[in-house]
Amino acid sequence: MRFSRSARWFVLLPLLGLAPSCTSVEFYEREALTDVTMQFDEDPTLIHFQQKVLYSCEGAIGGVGSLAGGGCGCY
Amino acid sequence: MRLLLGLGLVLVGAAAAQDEEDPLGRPGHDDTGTTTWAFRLGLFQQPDSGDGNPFLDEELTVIEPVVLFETDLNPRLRGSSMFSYDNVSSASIDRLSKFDGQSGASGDFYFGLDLGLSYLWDQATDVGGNLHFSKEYDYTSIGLGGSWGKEFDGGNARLKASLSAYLDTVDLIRFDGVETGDDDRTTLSANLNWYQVLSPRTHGEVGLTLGAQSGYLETPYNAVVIEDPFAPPNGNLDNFARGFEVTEELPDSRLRTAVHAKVRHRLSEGRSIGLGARIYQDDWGITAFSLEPSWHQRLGDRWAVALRYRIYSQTEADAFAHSFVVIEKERTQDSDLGDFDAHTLGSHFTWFRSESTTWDFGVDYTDRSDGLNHLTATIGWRYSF
Repeated sequence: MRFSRSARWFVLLPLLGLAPSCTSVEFYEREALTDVTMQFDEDPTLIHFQQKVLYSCEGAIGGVGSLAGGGCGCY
Repeated sequence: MRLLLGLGLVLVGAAAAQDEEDPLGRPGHDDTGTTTWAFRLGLFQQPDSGDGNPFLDEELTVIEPVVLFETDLNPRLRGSSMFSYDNVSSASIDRLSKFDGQSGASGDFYFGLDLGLSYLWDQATDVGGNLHFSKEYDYTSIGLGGSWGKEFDGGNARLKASLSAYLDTVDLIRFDGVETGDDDRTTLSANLNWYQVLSPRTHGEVGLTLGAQSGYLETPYNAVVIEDPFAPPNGNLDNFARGFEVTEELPDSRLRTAVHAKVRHRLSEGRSIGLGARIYQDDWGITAFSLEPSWHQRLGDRWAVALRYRIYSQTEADAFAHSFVVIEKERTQDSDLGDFDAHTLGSHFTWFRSESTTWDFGVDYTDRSDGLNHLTATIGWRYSF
């Protein structure tokens, strides 16, 4: 499958959905966001492993951890 | 290997010795403890099915233990250290054993150490810094980084900016075992991340990553095969093709840009859906995108599972070609710089064994259009007190 313009829109749609909200949510309304199934922050050791796998297997970077730089990642 | 198994058994035993506690009071990964120990064992397995680069055996196994220690040094200052070690079994490194002065066994290790400090400047602002050091048999890397984060709108939004710089030194061990000195590589990266609460049940993040690399950006032992039908079969090549090998040559600089986002929505108590996406482009000619829907579900009081699917697609670098018949100025046959699509299916289970102890287990399988399919598995343990 080639990278196409339609594919870009599939990626852009969730980005557009993240446009900053104009409505503030009070702290007592945010309880649902503390649920274990809603957490973004994963264990740093898991991020470390995922980042190494992705950056050594793909040409792209970004979105997982910080930019790879330490170690060549060239198995 | 025995050392790794022994360490794993010690950790399992230590976890089993702890008293069980009610986990209901622990919503997720919120580290309320002042000190955390974490251990992870990761496995990456890529068999060679004859696809990918036809001149190479691309079979690869990596086993990586990671140890993390975090602690509050005072109410405002938190320190962390993370140590990782890679045990690599790679056909591309093993083949160096054929040459005098090189040993495939010497290429099977990597270790890295990251030290970090995070300081809570005020109720809404934190700053941090980190040091990095890693060493491979042919590679040394030192790094320095800093970050700044600030909350807005009563915690509804958060901006985080970080900068990192790495200076790497590469020993130039070529595909034929010849060492031609060493060279440097510099990497600078900037990350900007915006977190936003979108509704009482939805939140998300959007980020920008910029990377600039300069210096020696090739993989020293990578070769490019110049095919010649009149040459004898080449015994150094996996398929005994007719031709000769030359070094990989790539530009001395690379600018990389990625925009990424993820959003999570709670459907009901203990049940959420997520979506992640990324667009990437660099000046080597690679454009890539990924999309990752996920499902997150609590299983009773002590378990949670995350199921995910990820589609990834990238175009090839300008210097990439599957076949060469003349020596181009810039050239590579590295499959990871070629064009391919990848589909990943994954599952990740978390067991909240007690208020202070968490175990997790995950397996991912990736099917790539160029045949370089791979499996990753991971098991992690986390103890906060």
